[in-house]
Formats: sequence, structure tokens, C-alpha cells
Amino acid sequence: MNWKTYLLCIFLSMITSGCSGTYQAYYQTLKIAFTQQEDAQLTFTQVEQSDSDVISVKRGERPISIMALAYLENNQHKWVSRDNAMLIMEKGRIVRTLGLSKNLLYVSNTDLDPLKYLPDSQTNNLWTYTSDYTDDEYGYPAASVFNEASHDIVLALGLRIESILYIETMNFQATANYLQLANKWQNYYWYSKSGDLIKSIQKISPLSESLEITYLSRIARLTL
Amino acid sequence: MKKILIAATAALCLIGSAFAQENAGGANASNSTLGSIDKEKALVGVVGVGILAAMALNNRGSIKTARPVDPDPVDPICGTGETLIDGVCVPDTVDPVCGAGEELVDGECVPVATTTVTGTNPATSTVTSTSTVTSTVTSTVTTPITVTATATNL
Repeated sequence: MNWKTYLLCIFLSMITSGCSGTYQAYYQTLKIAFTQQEDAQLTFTQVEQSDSDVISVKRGERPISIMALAYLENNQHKWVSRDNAMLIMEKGRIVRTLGLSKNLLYVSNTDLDPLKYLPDSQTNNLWTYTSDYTDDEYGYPAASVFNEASHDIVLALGLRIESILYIETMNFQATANYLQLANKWQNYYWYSKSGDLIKSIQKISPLSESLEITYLSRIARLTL
Repeated sequence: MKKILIAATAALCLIGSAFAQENAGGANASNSTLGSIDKEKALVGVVGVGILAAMALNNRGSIKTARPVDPDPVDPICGTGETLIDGVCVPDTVDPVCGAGEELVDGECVPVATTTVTGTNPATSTVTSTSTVTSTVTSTVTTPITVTATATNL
């Protein structure tokens, strides 16, 4: 046999084995594993026409999802997702979560949360609180301090919005029974010139995934 | 007092205006949502290891075939002249009827060997012996005794 015949045999064996059920199963599994999930996106018009206020949320490395404002109760914003998770916020701070793999149950001392007074009056006071989580994790003490504000630009819905950025340095003070390397992290809050919170990046504990939240409906209303 | 009331009213107006533009969709809010926030990430490394393990296991080709289940053994019904031994019908053994000059040895008829010795004496004696050798020996004894023996191998 000459080399052309060898090549033909190899090609035919690849074709036939590649079509077998087992290799097709491998192929499909790998395809699912490596396929990039697409971000959920809304246009400016879709945001304007939405019946409910919407935010875009990027949790960790997951694709962006769109959550909607379901309830406004007791000065708390309750945002729901397509997969029935809920983020409950007080003036932009997540104080409770539902439907996540690990949930924040409670944050104490929220009346003194400096975030409630931004951007009108910034205090550099230390804010201390305790937090509870699922899996029987209760009473973890933490402290936060806000840095000086700085100017920044937020890009959303095709808009370029001048904003004021506040950075909050969090310190998780709970003594752990195991080696815990990350006790500190930073949360970021962007306010529009008119004083609306339009974007934030925050974590609810040192080991949790960050939540990047963009308030799309508020941004759309800025142009009115 | 009046100032406090005015301040409180103003504060309430401000708080109200802060939320006035926001639309809460209630139970129908999920209609405005897209994507999922809690979907597990695909762990590429884990998937890869899993696929490799599956391929390795598949390629070992250890196929286990199901063994047919043996039905419960049922003893056969033996006919006349048969006996059931270890689940098998075996014909009954009947000892043969031996004729004259034969005897039954291990289920078989074997000829009876007779040796007759005759003679006269002073030293004459007659010895009759019966043995189960399968040969016949005839001896004639005279004085002096002369023994002539003929042996036939069977």
C-alpha cells in the first residue's frame, strides 16, 4: 500500500469512530462544558418599556442575569431572578439573600449603616455589625470603613455616566476554626451626580462570590 | 412643634420621592427577568477528569453478561425397571441365573473349576479339591505315582 492508501484508511477510521455513540457522547459533554454561557442583555428601549425596575447582576464568573424589582417593603428593595433567587437590599446594601447555594440571613445594626447616608453625607466612622448565614453560621462580627469619594465613569446601556465612587473596606473579624487567608475585601458603590446609586460591586462575606449590580432602570431614568 | 411637623412632612415627601419612580412588579416581576443568578458553573477541570475516567473505563471493555438462571431441578419420573440415582434413572441390576457348573462372582456367572486326583495306595489317596480357578486339571496317579498334568490357560 502506498501512503495515499494509508491516509485514506486513517481518515476512514477517524470518520467511523468519531460517529460512534460513545464518542458522540464525549463530544456533546465537552461541548456543554466548554460552551460559554451568554450574558443576558437589555437595550435602552427594553429597559424603558419594562413593567418592573430591572438590574443586571453578574455573580462571580457566571454570565450576567437580569433581575426585576418585585417588592418595595419597609424601605427594602426585593429583587427576583428568573431562577427564583432574591436579593433584599437596604439603600443598596444586600442584607438578605434567598435561593442561593449559601444565603445571607441577617445583618445587624443596619440603622447605622453609612451607606444609608451616602452620597449626601459621608462619615468615616467605623461601622460594625454581625451577620448570619445558612449552614448554622451565626454572629460573625465585621467592620466597615468608607474611603474618600472619587470621580469615575460608569458605562451602561450605551451611556457614559459621570459618577462618584465610594470604596468600602470590609474587615471580617470572626475567628475561624480553620485557616482563613482572606479577611478583608472591598465593596464599590457608584452614585450618579443626582445622588442615585447606579452600580455596586459587593460581597456578603470574604469567601462569597462578588455581586456586580448595575441599576439599569435608574440609569435609563437619568436621561429623562 | 410646628417646625417638627413640617420637617417630618418634608422628610416623608423626600423618602416618598426616592421610591416614587421605581416600579415593583410584584408576583409578575419574574416576567422581566433573564438568565439565572445561581446556576452552577461548569467546572471544566472536573468535567475533563470525568470524561477521561469514563473513556478509560469504557476502553477496558469488561462486559458482564447476565447468566441465565437455572430452573429448579425436577427429578425425572423413572419407568419400570429403573431406579433414580442422583437425579438420573438407572436400570435395575438383576443377578443372572447361573447354570450347572457355574457360580455367581461379582454379578457374573463363572465356571466352577474341579480338580480330581485318583490313585491307589499303599500311598493311594484321592484328593478332590475345588477351587475357583478357571482351569480344569485332570491327573491320573499310579504307583509309583506319576502325575501327568495338563494345564490350559484360559
